[in-house]
Amino acid sequence: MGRSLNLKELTRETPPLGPGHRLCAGCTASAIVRLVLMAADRPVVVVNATGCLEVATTVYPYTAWNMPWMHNAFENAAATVSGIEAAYRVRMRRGELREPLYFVAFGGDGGTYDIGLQSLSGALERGHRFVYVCYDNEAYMNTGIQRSSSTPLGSWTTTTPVGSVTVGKSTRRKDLTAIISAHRIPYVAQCAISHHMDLMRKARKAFDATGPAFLNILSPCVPGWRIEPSDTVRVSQMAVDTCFWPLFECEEGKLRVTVQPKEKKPVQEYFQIQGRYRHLLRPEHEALVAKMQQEVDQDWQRLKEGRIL
Amino acid sequence: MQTELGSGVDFYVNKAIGSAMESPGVEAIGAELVEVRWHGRGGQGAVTGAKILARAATKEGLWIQAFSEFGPERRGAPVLAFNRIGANEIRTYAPVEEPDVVVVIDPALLERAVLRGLKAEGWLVVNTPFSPRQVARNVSFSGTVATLDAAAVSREASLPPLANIPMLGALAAATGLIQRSALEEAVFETFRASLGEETARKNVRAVNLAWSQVRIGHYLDPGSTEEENECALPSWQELEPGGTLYQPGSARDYLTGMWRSSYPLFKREECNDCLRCWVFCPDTSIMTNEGKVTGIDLQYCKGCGVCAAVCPRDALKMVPEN
Ligand code: SF4
Ligand code: SF4
Repeated sequence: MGRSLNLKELTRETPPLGPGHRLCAGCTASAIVRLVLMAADRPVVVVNATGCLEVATTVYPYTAWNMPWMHNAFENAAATVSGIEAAYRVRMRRGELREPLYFVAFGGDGGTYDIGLQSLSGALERGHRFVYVCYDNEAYMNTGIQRSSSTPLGSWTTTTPVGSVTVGKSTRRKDLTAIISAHRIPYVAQCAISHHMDLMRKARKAFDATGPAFLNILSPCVPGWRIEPSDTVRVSQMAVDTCFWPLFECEEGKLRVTVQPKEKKPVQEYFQIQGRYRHLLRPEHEALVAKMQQEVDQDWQRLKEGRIL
Repeated sequence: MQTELGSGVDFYVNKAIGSAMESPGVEAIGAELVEVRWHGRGGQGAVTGAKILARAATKEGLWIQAFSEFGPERRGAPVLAFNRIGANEIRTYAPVEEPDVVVVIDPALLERAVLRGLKAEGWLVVNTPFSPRQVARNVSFSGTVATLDAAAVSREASLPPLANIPMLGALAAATGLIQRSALEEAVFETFRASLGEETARKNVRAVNLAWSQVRIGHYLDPGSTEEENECALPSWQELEPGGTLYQPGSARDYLTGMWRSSYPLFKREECNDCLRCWVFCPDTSIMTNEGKVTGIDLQYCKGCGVCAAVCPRDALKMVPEN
C-alpha cells in the first residue's frame, strides 16, 4: 500500500523531526521517531507525553518537529490523542475536513508503563484509530534515572542501587506488550532501533491497522544505561541477538517472531557492554544471571510457539 | 542533573558561619556582594566548583549561596552555576543577572555570549592555554581577564582532566575573593569525604598549582560589551495561548554543533551509499543528495560517533576537534 519504504527516496523528504533538538548525543529516541513517522503515507498529528523526547525537542521558543504536535501532560497522551481523533472523525462526517490523517502518540516507558497506563488502556478499549509508540529506555531518564516498571531485574538505577544489600532492581519488568495485546487490538509489535527496516515495516502495518495499534520500541539511553554515545545501536543489536528484547508482532491476535537471531547469544554478552549491568558479571551473582537467562529462554520459547503469555 | 519542567535550582544555601565582620575577600573586590556565574557542560563539575567556593567562603565568615540552573539539555550540554558571596545576609534569591565574575571552565564555550550581564569592571576567568590579552580581544571584553591552562594543571597534579578545581584556584587567586588557606581547606574536606585523603591532597595541589600559574591582564579598550546577546523571549502577555509555536522545525536556529568534541571525517570514495549513517544519526546531520551521502552538517552534529560505528565501510572516522 501507499508509499515505499525505500531509504533513498526518503532522503529527499523533510525529516519529521529536524535538528537542533537537545537530546543527548547518541540518543536513539529521535531516530525512532523519524523511522516511525517516515513510514506514514498521510499527514500525521503527533501527541507527546512528558519525557525526554518532549522536553528536549520543544524548548521554548523552538520546536524540532516538522508536523502538528501537541503536549498535554505525563499521564494523558493517549486521552489527548483520542480526543483529537474523535473530533477529527466528527468533522470528517460533517464534511468540514476531507484529508485522511493519521494520529500518533509517543511516550517513554514512564509515561506508558506507569503514569499513562490507564488512559492508554481506556483509549485502546474505546477503539480510537491511532498508533501509540512507547520509546522504552527502561527508566525515568528525564528526571535522573529512577526505576520504572519497565526497568529489568538486576538493573542499576539511582533508586535501585547496587551494593551489599541490593543488586539493582529486585523485581522483573512488567510485560507491557503482553498487557496491551490483552486489549485484543488489531496490531501490537515489539521493535528495536537497530533493526530499522523491521521497525519501519511494523510502523507501516500499525498505520494501516483498522483500530488502535501499539509499538514498543527499545531505546538505548547513554547516561541511563551507562554506555558510550557511539554504542547505542550496537547495544540495541545485542538486546535482539540475546533475545533479551525479542522482536515480534501480534496481528489480529496472531503472534509471529519477526527477527530470528542467527545465533542466540548468552545474556552476559548484553550485560557486559552496559554499565548498569556490569555488577552482574561478578561471580557472586552467577545464580541471578542464570535465572535471568532462564527467563529469557522461556520467553523466547513461548514466543516461538506463538504464545504471548 | 535533569529537571522535568525545563529549568530548576538544585542546591541552595544561605548562611554564614561566624560573624560577617571579617570579610577580606569581599573587601578585596570592593563590594558588599559578589556574584559569580560559572559556565561549563554537564559532567564537568561547574556545580561542584560553585559549592566548594561557597564552602570556602563560609570559612571566612561570609554569607553564601551556590546553585545551578539548567535547561532540559542533556549530558554534554552547557550548564550554568552561580554563587553569591556577601558580607551581609543575602536576601536575593533570583538567578544572577549581572555577575561580577564569570568563570568559563570549558574552553569551547568561550564566545561573546558568556559576557551577558558581566559588569564592565568585572572579571572573566577562562580555562584556556591562551593569554588574557588574546581572550580579551577574542570576546572584546574591557575588564580584567584571567586565564589558566587547567588541563596542564590537572596533568601535573596527576588528576583526571577535570577543570573545575584548577579553575577554583584561578578564580580565587585572580580576584582575591577567598584566601588560599580557606579554599585549600574546603577542597580537602570535600574530596576527603567523597574520594579519600589521597585524592583530596591531589586536588589541593591542583589549587596551589593554579594559584601560581594563573595569568592576569587588564584591558581597557577592546570595545563596548553592552547591547548584543539580550534575551529575546517574549513576556507572558505576548505568549500565544498554550504556548503555541507556528514555525515548524524552528529548532534549526539552535546549533547543537558546539556540544561536539570530535567529529566524523567522511571519505566519499569509501562510501557505498547504504545510508545506515543517515538512518541512525540522531541529529539528522548526514547530508545527502539524490540518495547519496555528501557530507556532515557540522552545525548540528553532536559528535556522538554513531555514524562511524554503524558504517560497514571505512567511510566515517571520528577525529578530535581542532
Ligand atoms: S557523529 Fe553523531 S551527530 Fe554527528 S553525524 Fe555522526 S551520528 Fe550524526
Ligand atoms: S554508513 Fe558508511 S557506507 Fe553507508 S552511506 Fe553512510 S558513510 Fe556511506
